[in-house]
Amino acid sequence: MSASPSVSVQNFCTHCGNLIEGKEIVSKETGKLFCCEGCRSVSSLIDRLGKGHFYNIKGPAKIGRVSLTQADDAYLDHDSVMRKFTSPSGEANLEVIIEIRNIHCSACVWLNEKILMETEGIVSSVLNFSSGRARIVFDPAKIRLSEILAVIRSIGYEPALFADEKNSPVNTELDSALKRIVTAAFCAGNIMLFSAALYLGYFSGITAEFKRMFHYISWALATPVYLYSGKPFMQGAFRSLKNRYLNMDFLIFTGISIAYFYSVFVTLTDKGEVYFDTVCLIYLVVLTGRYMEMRARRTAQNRVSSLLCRLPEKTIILRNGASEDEIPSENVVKGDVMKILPGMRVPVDAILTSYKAKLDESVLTGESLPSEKSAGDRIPAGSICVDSHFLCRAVNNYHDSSLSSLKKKLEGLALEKPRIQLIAERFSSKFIAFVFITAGATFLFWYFTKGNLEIALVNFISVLIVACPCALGIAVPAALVTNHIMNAERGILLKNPSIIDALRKIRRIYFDKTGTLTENMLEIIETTVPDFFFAPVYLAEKNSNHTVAKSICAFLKTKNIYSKLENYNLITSSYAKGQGLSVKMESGASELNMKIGSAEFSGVDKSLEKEGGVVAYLSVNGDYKGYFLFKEKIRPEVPALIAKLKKLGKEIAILSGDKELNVRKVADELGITRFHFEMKPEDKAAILDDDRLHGVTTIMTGDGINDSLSISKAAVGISHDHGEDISIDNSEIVLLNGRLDGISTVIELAEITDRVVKENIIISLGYNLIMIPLAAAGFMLPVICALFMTMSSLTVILNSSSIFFRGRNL
Amino acid sequence: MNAFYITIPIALAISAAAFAVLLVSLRKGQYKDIEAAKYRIFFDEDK
Repeated sequence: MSASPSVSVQNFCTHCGNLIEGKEIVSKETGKLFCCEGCRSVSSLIDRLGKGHFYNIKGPAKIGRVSLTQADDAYLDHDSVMRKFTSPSGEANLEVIIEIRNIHCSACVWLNEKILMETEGIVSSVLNFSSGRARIVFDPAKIRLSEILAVIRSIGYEPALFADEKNSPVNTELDSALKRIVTAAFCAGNIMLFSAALYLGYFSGITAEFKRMFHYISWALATPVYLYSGKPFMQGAFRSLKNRYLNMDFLIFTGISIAYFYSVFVTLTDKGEVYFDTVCLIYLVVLTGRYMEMRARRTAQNRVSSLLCRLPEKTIILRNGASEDEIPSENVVKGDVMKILPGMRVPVDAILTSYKAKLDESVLTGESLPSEKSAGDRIPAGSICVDSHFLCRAVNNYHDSSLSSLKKKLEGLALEKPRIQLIAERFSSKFIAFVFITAGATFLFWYFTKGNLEIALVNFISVLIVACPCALGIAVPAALVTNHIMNAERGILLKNPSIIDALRKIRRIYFDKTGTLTENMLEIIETTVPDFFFAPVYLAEKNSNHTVAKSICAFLKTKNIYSKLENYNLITSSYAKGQGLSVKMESGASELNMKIGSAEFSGVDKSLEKEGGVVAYLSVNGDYKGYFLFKEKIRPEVPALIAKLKKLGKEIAILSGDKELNVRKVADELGITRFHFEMKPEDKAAILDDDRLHGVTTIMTGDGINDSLSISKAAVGISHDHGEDISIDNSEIVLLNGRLDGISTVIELAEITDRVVKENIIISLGYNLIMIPLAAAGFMLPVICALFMTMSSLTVILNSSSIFFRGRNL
Repeated sequence: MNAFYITIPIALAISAAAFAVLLVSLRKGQYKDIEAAKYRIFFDEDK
């Protein structure tokens, strides 16, 4: 008698909190229900370790289902890996940063910290909540790196070593920038107390004694700001002198220096007014704007580096043709005989020594179906073993292989790329020259007509300060930062914030097909197989890693077959390469000999063959029972995206390495009229080069190594997080949530941002154009000028924040 | 008005002390993970 599974009752997994689909797994000791074997074993481990408190913290929150991965990390204890990822801490201990990928909630943090802390040999472990990275200090004499990772894996999490960037220039720069801002804020706040007194005194009278005292206090407060907070401006100004190129730093620093030294002069001689508060406030406002921009950029870099911090790959080497040895892939040298297991990537170019092999070369050629190789054939690095394992001999060293030379080529290209943001800087440089001429003229005019140095100097400073293009300086970054945040909230990462310049000029958008427009899974669009055979077919295909088999299983899972599975018993199963699967199973007293595969393999008559795509035929005990017709499955969000992009007036085209028939089908379905097929990476790049020559701004969207060259050639390269490292490396935009509709969001936000940038420039220039003549004519005091300047900056910041409002529906 | 000669240094000293505390907290990295504090209070229960 078999227990009837309760598919209709909704049960939730005790461990992960997800709905149990299909048959639940019942723990023998506790009677708790689980959705899968992984969740059960992790949960029983947690109970055994007395860490049941985990479930109290977690509550009903859902975490990911556990997929217990059998990983062998022994190669991590190799010296080169240790050197790369650990740093010494204390006398004998090492520190390592491990990124734990599937941290969902605080309970996950708690569990990981607890378990790690109780592991022998681990001195301390602190997990950062926002980044999911654990800083672990361990004693290398007691525990090995691979064992630490095994501990984390055993409780169902996915650890990855993270190369530390604690001492990277970006981080130290950010830290010191914060200290400079804090200093400027402290001094500015305190100095205003005395400035307010001085302002009031200016209008209603103040005794000379207090005025002098307030001057000296202000001097004392302004000096650290001038020397410490203003150091980047000082350095920038001297650099600009050295390069004979006027920049904003130079203008700000000159204006501030004159204000500062004039105020020192006033303080010492007791004649006139001081402008120390102006020094502090200007630095505070400008530094804050820059800090925001730097932080946005750092966040972007961090997210990219965590995408790229995959574990170093390993390769099995056969020594003397017999003993197997695992080494990091970068240590493979020419002549090594490598054993490649199913699912592994060939690390270097090689010659096949086994009789036959089947390889997925889609990352290199874009060809979606695996290609077959026989002994003596050349295997390009980067291709993946699809079927059973094979042996091959390396024809070059790791660093000379086509994979890494392609990477080098791309690095060279990245440097050639034109920078877009120069226009604004060139303009402000000219503007600064104009300001200096105006200020100089003002000085000369007042000095010669009035003969009074103080009046001339005060008006000179007024012009410099009111004209200071601070608002202009933050006009662009403030809008870019807002744009950046808006995109990040929608799972879109802009690696270079200034990309909006190119984005709003986009005319043509290219897509790769395989893995970008379509999913990696095939979709079954038609089947004539009777329902009766669904359960045995599922059982037969369940253990296969083939795309077709996985697609069939995904389809059958929706057919309510679980209750029938128990009636069948798998006896043998064998796979014929490129042909299909033949399976023997029993059901009660009867025996089924099933063949699922090509028409020839399943023994199907020519007249019954089905046209129009990939087809798998089923025969049972020699009788033809039906077929499954497959179609490449277009990602669900793509049709809407294409329609939207067309509405925005963009041209859309497909660049694919696949065969014409497959590309045409996808193009027809999406209503795309331009498509290129059977393209090699160089061909794709050539098309993008040609567009650039004709002045067409392009986007290239792709995910594989075969797209990375074209991604870097396009004005804007877009990849998604399932993409290969190298394509992520070379694209300006990464869609972190893997959803393609981010492309239209990015374009529309760029248009809004561009409008805001232009408004900001008009606002800030408007302030300057009205105020400069007034200041030159001597109507303004430097203090009032500073007030207007701050107000113009504030207006620009407010206007930039309006992007949040204007883009809220995107 | 002579009170200024006492009150102003006192005010400056107090704010300077606050500033020093801020610098110390910055150096200790208290702003590196501002998410953590609100969760960690729940962790201590079972100690």
